[in-house]
Amino acid sequence: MIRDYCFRSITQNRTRTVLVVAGIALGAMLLTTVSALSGDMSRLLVGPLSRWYGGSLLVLGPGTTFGRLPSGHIGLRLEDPAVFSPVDLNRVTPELEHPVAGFFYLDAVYTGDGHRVTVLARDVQFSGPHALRTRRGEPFPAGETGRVVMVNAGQDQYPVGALVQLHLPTLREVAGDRLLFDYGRPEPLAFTVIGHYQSPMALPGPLFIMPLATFREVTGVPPGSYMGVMAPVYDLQEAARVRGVLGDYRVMDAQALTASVVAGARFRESGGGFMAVSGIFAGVIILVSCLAMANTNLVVLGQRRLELGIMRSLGWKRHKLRHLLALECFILGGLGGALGYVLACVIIQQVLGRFGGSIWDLPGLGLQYGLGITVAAGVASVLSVLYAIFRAARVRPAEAIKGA
Amino acid sequence: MHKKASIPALQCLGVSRVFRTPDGEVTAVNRVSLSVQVGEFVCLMGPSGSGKTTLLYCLSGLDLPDAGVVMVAGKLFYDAAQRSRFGEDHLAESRMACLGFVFQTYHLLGSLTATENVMVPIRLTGTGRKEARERARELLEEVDLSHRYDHFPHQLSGGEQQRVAVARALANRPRVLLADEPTGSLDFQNGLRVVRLLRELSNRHQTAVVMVTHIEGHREFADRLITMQAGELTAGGGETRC
Repeated sequence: MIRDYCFRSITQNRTRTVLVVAGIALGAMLLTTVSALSGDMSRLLVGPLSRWYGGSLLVLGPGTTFGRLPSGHIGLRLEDPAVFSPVDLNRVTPELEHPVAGFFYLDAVYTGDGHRVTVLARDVQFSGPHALRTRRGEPFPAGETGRVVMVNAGQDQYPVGALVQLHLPTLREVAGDRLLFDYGRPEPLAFTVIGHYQSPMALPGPLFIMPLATFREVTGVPPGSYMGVMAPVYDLQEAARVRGVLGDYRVMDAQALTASVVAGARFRESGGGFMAVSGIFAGVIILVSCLAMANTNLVVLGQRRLELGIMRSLGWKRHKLRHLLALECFILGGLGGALGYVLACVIIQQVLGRFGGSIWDLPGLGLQYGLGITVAAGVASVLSVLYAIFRAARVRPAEAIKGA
Repeated sequence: MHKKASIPALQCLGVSRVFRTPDGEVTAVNRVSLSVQVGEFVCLMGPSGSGKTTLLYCLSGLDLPDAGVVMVAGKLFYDAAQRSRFGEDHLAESRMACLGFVFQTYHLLGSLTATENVMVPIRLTGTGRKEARERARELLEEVDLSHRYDHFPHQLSGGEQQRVAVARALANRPRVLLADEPTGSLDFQNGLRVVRLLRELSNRHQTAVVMVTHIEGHREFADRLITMQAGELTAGGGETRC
């Protein structure tokens, strides 16, 4: 009986239901968003940005999807030390000692919108007939092992790993915009130069694109184990312009790169303050949400005085009315909480997407949180209106009906 | 027209209701005593402000008299001297079991269909949904609304809503039906139809009816006429008409 009436009341009084649910959803959404952004966002953003500034190698976890940073970068995530170990690329290119060197050599900025970044290989052996050389042309010491990963942007034709620097030892000839490589074949492998990179700390050189399969062949690295020697990020822009094939790749120029590094440092410095402000903001939202919920429910119950009076006149006892009202408040609160959670997820995804993250990187925002905030909103809704429920259930039929 | 019985369907003794206002006390009902027999149809008339509605509310337990006793079918329904014994929940339960009330402005629950409105008091007695639905539909058929089972109040005309309200009031086969100007919101023809219906149902179910009305024409349906003036009965309180 109570459930039946409760359901009818919620579905038939749509305007009231929508307004109450929307109000609660707004609070739940703000709370979830602020909580997530204050906690997980800082973890997602401050950490990587500070690492960028520090120049550590950035390694992607398998199967991670990335979006773009405002700077145009695809977001990066620090490696899971249990899976990958950072590599000091200065060992690969010993002459580079710039603090952001690693950033230039291995990152995921080559991915386009929605491309899935996957780690192809690790634990590459720097040895063998086609081993890569240092920039000085010296081979790496035999048996030297680096835990290097290469990322695939998800396009088989132009994988990121195909961007190879000119310093490969097998380069035979530069003919105009053609690079000819000799890998013991009758005909040299030819690749078109698509641009030139200019790095503040690396030697300038041309860029070209080769299919991933060819890259595997020319580097002589066994399948499933590849080394990526990446060009500076900002060269891709020119590459895209020249070839028109990387138009989807938004890359940053040197100025933007510098700006992002500076921003990263600032962001890291302001991280603590951001957390504190977010915490206060979340607290205010909780308080305001509870007050708003209480106020909304009070207004709604006030408007339902006649209805409650009629119900009393029909024989509803007080405890049944209390039960009914509490159930309604719980359901509306729960609906609001669930809706707020969904909206918050959408907003957070949008925000994180802009900063290169994904909502899937926020384990705290999972289904358990969703259920939690749904129940919490329901309970808060009931608690905030408990007094009003008790008062409403005590309505005297004659007063309510005559008053109407 | 009605059948006489030794035990009145409704009886009240010395019922008073006083409202306390900033300007002093207002006695809306002053020591009213009356008796209504089983199956009797009584019209309660009087000028506005004479206390008719307040008396009806006191008789039904919707309002609590400050003094007096109300008995339904020989059982004590309310005793102002033992106010603590007759809490509002107790009255609600008693009302549900033996009284029906029809309001002037129908007061159907807007979120429920006609059938569900009638089902409410039936289900409050613990009756199952299916049984309650069958009973509600029987009642709606009795008031000639079998084509409106699943209509919501806002989809019904005033006369139809009032007939649903009548069906709802009769849902638990009450001994007494109290109607507070049930035609007050209806045009003459629809009002007449409702009063005629109440009369028929009273005869059929042997339900005592006390109906507040302003319309002289309704007298012809009544077994007895009670008049009120300034909170007191001026005629018909203890008599029955054969």
